[in-house]
Amino acid sequence: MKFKFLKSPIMLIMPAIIAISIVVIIPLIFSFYTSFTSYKLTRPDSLFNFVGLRNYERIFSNSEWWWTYLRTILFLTIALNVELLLGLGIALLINKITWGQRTLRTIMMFPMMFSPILVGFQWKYIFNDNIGLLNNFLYLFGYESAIAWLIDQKLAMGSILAAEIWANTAIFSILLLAGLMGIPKDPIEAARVDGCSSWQVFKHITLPFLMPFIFIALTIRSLDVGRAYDIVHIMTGGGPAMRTELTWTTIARIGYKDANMGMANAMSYLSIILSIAFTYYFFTKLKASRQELGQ
Amino acid sequence: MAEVNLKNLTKKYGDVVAVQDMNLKIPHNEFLVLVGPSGCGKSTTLRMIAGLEEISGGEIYIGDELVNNKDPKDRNISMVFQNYALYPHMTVEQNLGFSLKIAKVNPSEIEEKVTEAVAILGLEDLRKRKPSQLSGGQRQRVAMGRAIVRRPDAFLFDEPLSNLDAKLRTQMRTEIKKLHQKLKTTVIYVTHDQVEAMTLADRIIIMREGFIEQIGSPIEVFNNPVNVFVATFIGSPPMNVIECEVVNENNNLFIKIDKDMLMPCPPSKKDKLKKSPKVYVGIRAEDIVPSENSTDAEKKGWNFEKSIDLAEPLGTETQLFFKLNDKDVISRMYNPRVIEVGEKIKFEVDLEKIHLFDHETEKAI
Repeated sequence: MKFKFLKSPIMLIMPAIIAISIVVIIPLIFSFYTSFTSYKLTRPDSLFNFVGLRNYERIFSNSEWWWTYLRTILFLTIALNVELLLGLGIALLINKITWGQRTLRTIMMFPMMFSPILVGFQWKYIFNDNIGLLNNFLYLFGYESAIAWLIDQKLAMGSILAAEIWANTAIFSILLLAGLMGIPKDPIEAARVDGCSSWQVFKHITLPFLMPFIFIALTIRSLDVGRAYDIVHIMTGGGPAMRTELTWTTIARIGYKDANMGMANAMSYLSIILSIAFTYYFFTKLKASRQELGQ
Repeated sequence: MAEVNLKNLTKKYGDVVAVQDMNLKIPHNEFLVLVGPSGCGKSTTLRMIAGLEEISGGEIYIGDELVNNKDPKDRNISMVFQNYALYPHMTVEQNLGFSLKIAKVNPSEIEEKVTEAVAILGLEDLRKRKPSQLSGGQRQRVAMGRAIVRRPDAFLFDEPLSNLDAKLRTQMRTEIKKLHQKLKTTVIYVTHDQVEAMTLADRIIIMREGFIEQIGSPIEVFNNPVNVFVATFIGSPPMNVIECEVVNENNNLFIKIDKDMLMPCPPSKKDKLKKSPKVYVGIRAEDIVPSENSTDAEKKGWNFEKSIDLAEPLGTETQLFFKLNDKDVISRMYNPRVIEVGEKIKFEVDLEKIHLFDHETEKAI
């Protein structure tokens, strides 16, 4: 027979291979290849201009990029920690409520229902130094000099963080609340009888039970925050003087504004390493916390 | 080391009363068993004593102290839960030492007490294991160990054996009994299993729908049940209770125990039966004796003959089922032989061993 190979097991996995190729493998290989070219969006012929490791060499000697890289790590760390603490607090409070809990859970999820772009716009106007709600509110309390929230280089990052935290804390709350609801009552009651105060019950019993949920939430959110672009783009556009640029806003600027796609792709691969590192770290922790519980 | 005292203890969930006006004094070192069908309020009572459930009314004293508003942690009690409630992230020894660690006992003393508990319960080889690596019986033992390391004023057991298989249950029952003899502490034990109640208790409390039906030693409640409920709840198989008419023939009182079958009224109860047209007759299965081997001279009681509907051989005995007044009745035949269904067998009943209950109130006459 002519197409003998079609009878082999290869044929059976062919549909999956084709699907994965189209969705993942081909774009991956293509983008990886372009990171070794001087590919510019405006000059398609440059796609075949192979430059070897030049893009990477340039990135490695570009201190501005590394500041952005560090800033992204800092942004991730602060956002995840604050969201975790706030989310945990909210989840613990809601878990105590017996009447109206469902309604509260729904209300809590409102920020997640808005487009990040719109959240960015809204917070941009809250933080606006002239007409913003925040400055007007401060004015009422006698604080008369307008604060340039989005223009001051130190405050701008904090303002973006505030918006990011407002929009996404609910994700932590929901995931942790699910975890809290799944904790068996018995060990908690046993601990109370064993002499634990509320805080000790939380520390010694609730928290270990909650750890897997915390790390799942952190994994999901680290991927989410790690690719932050929209909120920054809307609120500050990366300014002032690129002081609020994160890796992906930089990549977008270089890739689409400067049309330097080869360089942008090289940066993307370095950014992805960051996300992989976070995910790997949290998964290791997740596994350990599950083992701890004997799961 | 203390007595536990309940005064008018009441628990309501909205309009539903779970426990009503319970008064109970549990002296030091007593093994008290609360028994009753599910929903009778026994677990709620225990949880109120533990402080895990708020009380709606009344007072709880542990020792001389009123503990109504005290947190569980301040009551110096320990509790063994039905599902063991072990801390899954801690090893056996950490589970055992946890309460001591919380109480800031110094590590060497914790080690000493844990070692002692582990020895008492035979858990020496399992100290470093986590609960998920233990069998049901071992987990139960750890749960008990966790309770004993603290030397509390009272032990509370909430159906601790109901998740174990039959064989292990019997074994653990013995261990709990031994433990109590060794530790000499007040124990309050909740179960729905009347066998556990009978074997373990110094005193049994039978509860129904939030009320105490009867309090007494196992033998007392077995021999003198105060009403039909207690009579049918305590004892296995349950006491046969038959609704009967009272018949007066020639000034002699008889109980019509079946169609065309009159049983003479026990002489000691004649006066009390005169006015009642109906009565519940309770006879324990072992008091309906198949009398085929005894000679007429040996027969002291009242005799009757019935054909058998079903025979269940259990080895040491065979349980014979037949009907009296359309109600299934069980008799215990010791020295069993093969019984054919439909076979007629003679039975003998010692009239002084039967129980009579008022038809209206179901209380013992």
